[in-house]
Amino acid sequence: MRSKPNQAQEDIMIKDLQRVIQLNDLQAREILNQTQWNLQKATNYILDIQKSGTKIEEQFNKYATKQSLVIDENGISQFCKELEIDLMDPVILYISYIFKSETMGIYTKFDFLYGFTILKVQSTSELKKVLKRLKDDLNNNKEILKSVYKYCFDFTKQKNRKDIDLPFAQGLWETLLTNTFPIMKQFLKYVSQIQEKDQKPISRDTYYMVWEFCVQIGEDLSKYDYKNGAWPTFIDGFYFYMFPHHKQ
Amino acid sequence: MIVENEHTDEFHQLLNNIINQNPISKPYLFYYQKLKSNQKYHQQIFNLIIQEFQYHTQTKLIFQDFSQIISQHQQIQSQIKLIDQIFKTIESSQNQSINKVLNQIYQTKVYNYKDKILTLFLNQFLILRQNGIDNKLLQLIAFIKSTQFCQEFKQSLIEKSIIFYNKFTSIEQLHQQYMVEEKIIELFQDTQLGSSLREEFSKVIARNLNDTPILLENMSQMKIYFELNQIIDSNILKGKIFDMVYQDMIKVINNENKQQIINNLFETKEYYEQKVSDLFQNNEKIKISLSSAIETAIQLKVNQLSEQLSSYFDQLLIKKQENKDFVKVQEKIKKTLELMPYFSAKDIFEHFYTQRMTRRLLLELSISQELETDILINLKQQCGDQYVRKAEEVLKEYKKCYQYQYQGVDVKLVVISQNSWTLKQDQIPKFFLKEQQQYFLESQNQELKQKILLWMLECSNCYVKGFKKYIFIVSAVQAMILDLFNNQKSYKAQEFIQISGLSKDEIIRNLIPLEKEKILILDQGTYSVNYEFESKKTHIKINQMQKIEKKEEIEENTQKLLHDRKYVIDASIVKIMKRDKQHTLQEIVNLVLKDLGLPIKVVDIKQQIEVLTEKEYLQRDQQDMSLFIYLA
Repeated sequence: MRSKPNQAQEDIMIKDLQRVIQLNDLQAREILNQTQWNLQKATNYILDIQKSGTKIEEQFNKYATKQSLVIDENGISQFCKELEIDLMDPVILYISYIFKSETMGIYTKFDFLYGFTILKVQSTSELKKVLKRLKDDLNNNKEILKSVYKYCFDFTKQKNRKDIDLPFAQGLWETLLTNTFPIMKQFLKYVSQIQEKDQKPISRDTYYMVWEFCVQIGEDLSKYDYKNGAWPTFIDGFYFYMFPHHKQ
Repeated sequence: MIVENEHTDEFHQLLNNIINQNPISKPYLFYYQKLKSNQKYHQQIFNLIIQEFQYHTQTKLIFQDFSQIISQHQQIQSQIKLIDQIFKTIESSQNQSINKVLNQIYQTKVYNYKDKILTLFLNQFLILRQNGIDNKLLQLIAFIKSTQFCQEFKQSLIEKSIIFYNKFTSIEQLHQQYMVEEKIIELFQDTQLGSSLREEFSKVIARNLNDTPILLENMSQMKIYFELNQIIDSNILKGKIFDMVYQDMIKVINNENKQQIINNLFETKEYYEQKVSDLFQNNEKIKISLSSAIETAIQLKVNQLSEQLSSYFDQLLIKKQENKDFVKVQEKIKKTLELMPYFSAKDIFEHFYTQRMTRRLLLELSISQELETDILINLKQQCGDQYVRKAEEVLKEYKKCYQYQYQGVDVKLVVISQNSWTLKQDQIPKFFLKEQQQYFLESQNQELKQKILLWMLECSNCYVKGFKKYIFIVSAVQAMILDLFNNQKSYKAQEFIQISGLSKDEIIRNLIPLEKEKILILDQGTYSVNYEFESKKTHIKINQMQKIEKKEEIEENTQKLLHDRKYVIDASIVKIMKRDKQHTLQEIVNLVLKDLGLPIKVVDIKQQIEVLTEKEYLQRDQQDMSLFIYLA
């Protein structure tokens, strides 16, 4: 068992892997982690996926653009239609999470190859059969929901920015959190009444903290320490929206 | 029925004598021995005593008025005692104690008149209470203590006392009554009754204190007020002083006339301090209340007031009639410096103070350079290095003054670093005194040759030798204008603007005083020199026009400084986190507030922490969400 590589070495290995095939950083990291950062094993794994993934590739090509490089919004729309799910259904975010897809609105070939392999399916219709299990997992397993939620920040974020615009965050909160955390109903009311001139982008920290807020505080706002707590000011804003007389 | 026989007869006689307070014929010893010898008649005698005594209490005791009851009581008590003494020998295990039985009979009778006695005694208590303590009150208390309805009396006494207390409506009355009440309470010492009375009386005092308005001019009433306040150890006076001073201060700081605000603030403060000393014996709690009220009021407008404070300093340090008494000025300065802690917007104060000080020094208006230095030393101690740095630089550089003469012009100048220069950035036109400017640059040693020198316009004074004997003391722009008349007889304002490259505002502002003082003539838009000018003085100082935009400028500068606080907070956070590596949010807030000493809100610091987290200077800890870690 080789000793764990440091940050720089990891980056080099990721780059090496990306020379073998086009895959994003997240996927490279995931695969290397699974193969204990053995570049050879990782490469073999990828080649295996490629070899046994012809059917998956065919499926991919059905949705991909004319140049067959990526699936764009139209393709995704088609994909969802065949899965018989709404575009706004949270399970599609879970699927993207499993794919370790990099950007919302685009699926690469490797997204499909890798993702479908992990799910042990070869086509959309097969995927449709495991959909119920995925939905249940998402609804019942908080750990999975948390991972998907955190993943979605980077999924939604533009490459040149460190934050996401409020409407996007709002969408994610609505899609992922409202079913599990009843307090989100009020929270989203608060968000929607923020005037456009006061709308500021949501930082990663704030986004992550909204999850913590739901889990630690939730409906019981009496637990919220607005004086000494280290909650982000955006969430303080929600508290003062609920209790205006506490604002000094 | 009384069984009379020869043996009991004499005892019957004796008893009657005792009860009726008649003299007894034979000595006690006689009876005593007789009793001892006639033991078989003991029971009879015992019964006799009981019967006689009972008869007596039934018929002879009257409960009519207070004094009577008291004296009766005393009589009965002594009678019982006497009987007890004499007839002690007949006590045995069959017969109970005479003392006990007789007392029981008496008490039973007393108890039957309970209601009457209670009413009588409570009224008497009230009368005695108003007239002061005396023996009667002690007797009253002694009597009640002996009865079986002592508790009831106490209860009623408290109720009646409450009614009595509630009749008082002025603190003067209460003050008078206090001494009496204290003595009464002392009589009841550590009992529940005593503490209840004290509690109720204190309540009434407190209520009256609350209802009585504070009129500081009414010395006698205030002294009583203070005494009562201290007696019940209450916070009422302290609270009222706070409110009073706070309201007053708010009026002061909201005064329309901004120039007078700081002055009025000091005067008001002194007035109240005097009152606290005269009326309230400089009581610590009240002094603290006073300071607290002033501080809280100042905090409401701390940013503007800090700027105004620097203006106040300026007024004290300028050469003028009011400041001729140097010692007085020093005193005022000292007092003002003592108040610095209240004006916590030190960054704003520092900016304007440096600006005004620079102006004072350059226009040679300051009454004393030494005083300026002393003030800076004091400010450094109070506010911290970073807030005095610029002013210190200016003063240091000012002291290094350069003087030279070239081509008939005497030049005196000072070189100040750009960081410390807080005045306007306008420069003197290059052509004006060009040779002198050049000369200075060339004659300087290496130190200044390396630097870029900009000749600043503001605060430049010129002594211009005019026609006849006159010497005009003018600003640099005015000197330039006058100099230009050497080349041409008349100018239009536009020409000045074109030649100099300065703004229209600047030129007009400098032309108007010249025209007003009749040095220039304005005729159909053209300016020319007034050679007819006459004055008794040789040196003519032109009063400069006040800058109209000053108010807006101050506001603008203040807003900029407030905005810059964000960066100041950033720097402080980074400094602290770099040093300590990690802190909870609360710790960061407290450390930053301590470090900067500025009136910043917690939410501002929190926002900057968020900004720094996003910029990846800081990171929230994975396990403890209130902990932040410095990212190297």
